[in-house]
Amino acid sequence: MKPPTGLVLASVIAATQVAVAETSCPSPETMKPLAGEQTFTQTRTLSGLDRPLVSTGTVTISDDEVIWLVTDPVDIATRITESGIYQSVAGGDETPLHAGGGGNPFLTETGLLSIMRGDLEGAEDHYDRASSDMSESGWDLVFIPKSEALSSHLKTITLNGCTALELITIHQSNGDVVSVAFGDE
Amino acid sequence: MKTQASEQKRAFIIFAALILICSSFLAIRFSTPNPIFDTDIQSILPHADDQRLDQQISEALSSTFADRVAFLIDGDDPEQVKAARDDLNQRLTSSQIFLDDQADADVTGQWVFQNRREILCEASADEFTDEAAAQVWNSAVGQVFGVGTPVSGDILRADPFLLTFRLSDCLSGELGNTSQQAGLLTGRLTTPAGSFETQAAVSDILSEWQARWLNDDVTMARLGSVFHAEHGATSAKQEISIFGSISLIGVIFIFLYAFRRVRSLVLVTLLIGSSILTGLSVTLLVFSQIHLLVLVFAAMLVGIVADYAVHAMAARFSNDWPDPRTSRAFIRRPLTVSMVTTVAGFAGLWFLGVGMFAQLAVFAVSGILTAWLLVQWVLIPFDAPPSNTPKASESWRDRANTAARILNWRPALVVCAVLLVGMTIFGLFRYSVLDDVRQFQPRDAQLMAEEARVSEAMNAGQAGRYLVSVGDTLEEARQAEESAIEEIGRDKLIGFSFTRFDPSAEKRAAARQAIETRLETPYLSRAQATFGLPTLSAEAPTTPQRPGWLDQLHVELPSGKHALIAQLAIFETSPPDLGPNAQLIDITQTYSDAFAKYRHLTSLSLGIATLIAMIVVFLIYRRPRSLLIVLCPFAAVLGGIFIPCLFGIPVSFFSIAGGMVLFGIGVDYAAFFWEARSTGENWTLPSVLIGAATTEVSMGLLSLSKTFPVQSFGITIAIGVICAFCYTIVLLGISRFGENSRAKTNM
Repeated sequence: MKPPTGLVLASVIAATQVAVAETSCPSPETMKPLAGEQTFTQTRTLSGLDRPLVSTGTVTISDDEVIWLVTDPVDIATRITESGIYQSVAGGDETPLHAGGGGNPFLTETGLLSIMRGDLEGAEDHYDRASSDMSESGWDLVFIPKSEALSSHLKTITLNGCTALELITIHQSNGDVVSVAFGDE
Repeated sequence: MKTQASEQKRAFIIFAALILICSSFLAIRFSTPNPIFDTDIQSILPHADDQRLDQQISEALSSTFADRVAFLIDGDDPEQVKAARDDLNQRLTSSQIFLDDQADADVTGQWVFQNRREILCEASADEFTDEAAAQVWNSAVGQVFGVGTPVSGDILRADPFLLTFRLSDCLSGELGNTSQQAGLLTGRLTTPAGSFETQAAVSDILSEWQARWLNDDVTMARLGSVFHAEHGATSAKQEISIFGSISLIGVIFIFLYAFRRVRSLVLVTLLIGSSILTGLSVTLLVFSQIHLLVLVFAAMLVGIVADYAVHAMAARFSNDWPDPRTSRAFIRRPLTVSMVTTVAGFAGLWFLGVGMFAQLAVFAVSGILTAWLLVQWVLIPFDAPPSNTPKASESWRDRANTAARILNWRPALVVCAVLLVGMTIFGLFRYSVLDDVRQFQPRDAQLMAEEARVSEAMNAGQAGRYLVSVGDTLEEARQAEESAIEEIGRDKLIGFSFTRFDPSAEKRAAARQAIETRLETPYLSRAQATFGLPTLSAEAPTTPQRPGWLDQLHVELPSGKHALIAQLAIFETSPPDLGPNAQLIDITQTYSDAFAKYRHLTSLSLGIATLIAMIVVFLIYRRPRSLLIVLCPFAAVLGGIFIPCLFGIPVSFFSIAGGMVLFGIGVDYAAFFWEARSTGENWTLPSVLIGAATTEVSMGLLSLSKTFPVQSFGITIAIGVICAFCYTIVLLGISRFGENSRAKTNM
């Protein structure tokens, strides 16, 4: 069973969207929760597949929930709340995504809910920051899971941004890579 | 003096040799790594030493479910709850007495993955409709392109419809899915829950964990038979400690009052210790293990052995400490009659066909024989006269005469005996029996409340009974279980049935067919195009390993048959007809049935012992009236068992067991009184009185216990000893036949 990569993405987005600052490329330490809507492009490069799986849409973050809306190639609405993750495909009924489909344990057991609240300290209960590079063009933060359970699935999570989070790249332990770019390209 | 000295030398050699041999043997046995004491309560149940299926199934049920435990850690802070749960798991697992269900998580995941095309979420293949197939496809697309699903390239290529996730979801859903489950820890004990060692180990670990975690923010609830067993054992230990202390003080007081000599107390203690030591050694020579409950029941030996010592000492006190040979002559015949009849009674236990009772028979018989030997050839030689013999004798006679004056008031004794007989007869018409183990000891309210909380979190409900499906092959057992569950209804299941995860070949084929025709045929090419999947190659056939928890639901019976066990909730409706290969079993009822069987067997054994004792007594005395030696205690046994029924205390296995002990004690009283009639001894009455008093303050005190088995045993002894004493004096007493005027005068 692999970790809910998308959920990791959503969580980290929520945490790092706060890195918007008055000056160019401020320290990510000043992150605060950010409400609002962002466009995204998710690219899953999965081993053994002919091509990357690309989806686009918008993500909306509020105090109570994160709504991850894929509009291409199909309409998929995923709602992430404290009580669980719910999904509707192609306008169908919303159904919960249970543990088997991924999600809930990773909300309650990995501190990702804290991250979604913009609590970077909460994230660091579960992840070690391997590196923090600052440059003129922005910052790169690399996180590695602390627990063996999580590290057996996730290798690293890399966040890139400047005034805002621009790219999340997740390297899974099996070699799969998932990246999410925010903003219009 | 020379004779006394040589007697003492011989006594020392006998005693030293016995102690040396037994101690050496026990030292060797205890130094071996194999455990000497069997502490598993299940060992007292009937064993499947024959081919009866129900017994084999009962054993399988006990071993499958009795060792399961669950803990629910609850609190406001999920991270604290998780840390507390993980800590408890770590403590239990590292002690090697617990196996977490989730230890098999990877194997379970592999099993689901390998079987994803042959197990459906739906109850039957017919329910996997075209609409359901369309939902599967949509869900796969949502998970691949959406967020929150751990899709990897490896999984997607092997399982493009993510059936593994779907199956995991619905199976998890069948187990319930509450927020509390984050703090749920379930698994099984690796050592028997009925074992005292297991109970103590779990209790110690929980105490340490509670000291670390339990506060206002974290709570814990427990579920499992081990906790009830531990609670019962703790209560019993407290009672034994209290009663033991009172008994000890009482017995010391009685001995010091009666004999006024510390030497008497020391000799009796040595006699009891030697008899128990020999009994233990001989039992361990015959059996590889001895059940701890045998030692509990062997406490009865204390009463019988103490009586032997009291007879010997009373005889010597009353006759100014004659030489050992004369002393032995006073007691030899009644002591031997008592010993033979008691041994015959205990030997009858061997034939009950229950391991624990066979051990008790060997223990008691060897202990009684030892006591019989040591009283005559060790205790008597070592019972040296006091320095002021005349004064000591005079003092003893004063006390004995006081007792005789009170007890020889015949009208009162006759009235008392008639009353006791009347109450026994009345009890015989009003008696009830109790074999239901649920009523043996009231369940602890706190544990019950905790169980309810855990059951709720597990979405389990209270387990009522078990479905056992049997077949000559595993496949036949699968078919039997599937059709039985169809009859009963899946909603009655607690947890999974074996066939939910490992269905019959017929069900597997139907599921495979439904998935191929309704899902793979219409959607596979779309999946390949949408996900960019390479052309799928046929999977190499593999034999997945069955998870440990699933294997536990399958038992190979000694008969070679296969049984599948599923736990069911309590349901009110009468069970449907499940056919010849499936049956519903109530495990508590199984235990109750076992105790009912024991009650019958013990009653039978008591009857046989009585008949044997009557034959033995008749062969010795050749007089019909001598049968009173057996009939008096037998009537006392009936009184001990049935008089309590008038006060609402039912007959049980434990009261009958008490009756067996009582029989041995009663025969002892009767045999000595019978001999006193013919020989004119004047020490029998005080001797029996001291014996009865020590029995009352030791075993009779158990009647105050709050635990039914102990109380039942104690009440039988307490009332029965009074009956035995009363009947014996009235029918065999010194004044009964006017044959013993010298003794009467002396008293």
